[in-house]
Amino acid sequence: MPLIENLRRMHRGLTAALRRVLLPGCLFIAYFFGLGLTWIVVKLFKSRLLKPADVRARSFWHDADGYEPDREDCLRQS
Amino acid sequence: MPANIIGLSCHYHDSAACLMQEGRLAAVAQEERFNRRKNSPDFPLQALNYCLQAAGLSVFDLDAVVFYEKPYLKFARVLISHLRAFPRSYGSFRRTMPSWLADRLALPLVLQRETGFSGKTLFIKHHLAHAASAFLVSPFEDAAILTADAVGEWATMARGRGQGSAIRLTHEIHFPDSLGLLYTAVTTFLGFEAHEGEGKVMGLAGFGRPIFLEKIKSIVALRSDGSFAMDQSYFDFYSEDRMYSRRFVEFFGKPREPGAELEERHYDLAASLQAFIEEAIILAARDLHAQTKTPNLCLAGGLFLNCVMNQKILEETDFKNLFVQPAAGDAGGALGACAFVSHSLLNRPRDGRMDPYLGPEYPVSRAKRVLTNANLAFRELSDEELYRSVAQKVVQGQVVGWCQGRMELGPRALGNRSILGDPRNPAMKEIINEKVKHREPFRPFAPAVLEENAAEYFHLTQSSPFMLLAPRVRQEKKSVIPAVTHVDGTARVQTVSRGLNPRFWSLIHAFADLTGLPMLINTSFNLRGEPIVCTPEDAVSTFQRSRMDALVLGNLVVERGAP
Ligand SMILES: [Fe+2]
Repeated sequence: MPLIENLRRMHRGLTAALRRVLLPGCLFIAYFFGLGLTWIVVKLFKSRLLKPADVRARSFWHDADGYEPDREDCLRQS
Repeated sequence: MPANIIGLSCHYHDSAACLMQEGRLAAVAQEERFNRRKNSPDFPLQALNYCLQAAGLSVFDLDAVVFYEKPYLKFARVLISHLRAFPRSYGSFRRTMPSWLADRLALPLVLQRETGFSGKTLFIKHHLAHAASAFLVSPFEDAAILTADAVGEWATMARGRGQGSAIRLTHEIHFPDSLGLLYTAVTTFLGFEAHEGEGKVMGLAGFGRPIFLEKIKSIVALRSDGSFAMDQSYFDFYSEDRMYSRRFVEFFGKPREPGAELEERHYDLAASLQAFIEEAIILAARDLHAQTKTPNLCLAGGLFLNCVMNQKILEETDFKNLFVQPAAGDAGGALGACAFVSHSLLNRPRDGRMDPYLGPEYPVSRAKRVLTNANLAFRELSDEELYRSVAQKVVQGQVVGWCQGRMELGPRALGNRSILGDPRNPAMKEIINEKVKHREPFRPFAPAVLEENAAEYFHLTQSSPFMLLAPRVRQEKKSVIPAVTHVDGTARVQTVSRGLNPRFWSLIHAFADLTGLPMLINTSFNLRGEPIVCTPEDAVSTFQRSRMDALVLGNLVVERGAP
């Protein structure tokens, strides 16, 4: 029993240490390579994605959708 | 098919769980009351367990669990907004992604891990949850609906109509244009905490003049239909502790450090912000009235915890009846999520009654045990003796902690977890602050008045059972109730009806028998920075750590200094 408990504790420690080191690294890569490259592409193609609202618009209300869901819609997380 | 439906809200702030059985509200509570962390965003395991226990159910009796937003949609918005702010948004990305990856994108798994529930998990859009939380528990068969908060998935504001059990939201404003975020940005600029200090800014506004209104309008374009667009160069929604940019500081001057002395310009900025928000919402409400032509309006979303603004909507639009449920912020999303599935999807009938007293209650045996363990002497009184005795204590100038029955929902104490005082005493605000609350001196205390007498004291055209209206105090009564009259001549009123809270009604009635005034000061039973008390243990601990004069747990009365 103490052996199993010790192994478990070691496993927990190892996982925590890996998480402390790996997670920030993965996030750094995801941000600067994933989002960064997307940002460059989006900038190059002057995508609507990065544009703010047109301040000359007569109204800033947008038509809404997705507000009358049926059961199937409700099962989806998007 | 039976319909035991649980609604959940969590992972942002104010997490909560709500249970509806056959379309009737059975239990609802916020997680902060159990884990004792104010505005806790944690998965509401204890609140969920309480709901099940209150109804004698296990998770296996549930027909569905409904979440108050669509996580994937929200995640897409988070990624796109980080993209827009690249590379400034790195700090925010690093801070928020771990919780998205571990919990927020895997709610069914979290639910199974935490509770063992493996049945249907449903998701509805955030502003639909807000809209449902307002309309489906309102007394109206037909009403216009307006929701506004910081942000849901993309929407920060939505409008539409409810008829019968159907809700139709037709328009929305999208992130990053958000009145809620604007309010929070100015709140942080004024040195208060985000998601906590907004109520303080509302109190501060009463002392200022709206001299910065035009300046705010120059950075937030406002249209006559209440829609708006914010110049994003003045804001920064990705920093850790503030939400305004350097440009905002150049425009409005130096931000106030937390705890620093308040200057006139701080009061004026708060007043200007309040005036702007009121103008925007009143325009939106007028436009909505022109489209729907109904006299009824339901409001939800954190912005509508602003009782001063709610009052203005009632006074300055053609809507005659307003309904705002007590947890108008995100905690109410849990209520809206299960109400939508129960009524709109499963067609369970609505009963048109919002009972806010659906939190836990504790047996007298537990209260006695807690008091005995704390070495506090107590007397057990009959109901009549209790009302008379507590009313007398309040007349004598005492500050009384009053803990009764089932805990109320929402951020305002509604007479079951309250601290009470005498509204006639001009010094009472300072006394309560000194003995218990330690709040900022500019924040007013609220009156709880018998519903049948409310119009004698306030310019009130409808009841305000959840303390979400702030009518003007009648001129001739201002000197009668100085402790609850704010500097701007308004009061954040709770109207107390015998039907909804008979014990609190009887206590106020007993006070009226002694004094002729059917009203008490009612402030939440908590110490500064803590959530409202839930259990007898919480109440006793708060009593012991404060200088409150007396504590009432059900029919048990404890007096400070009694042997
Ligand atoms: Fe919300």
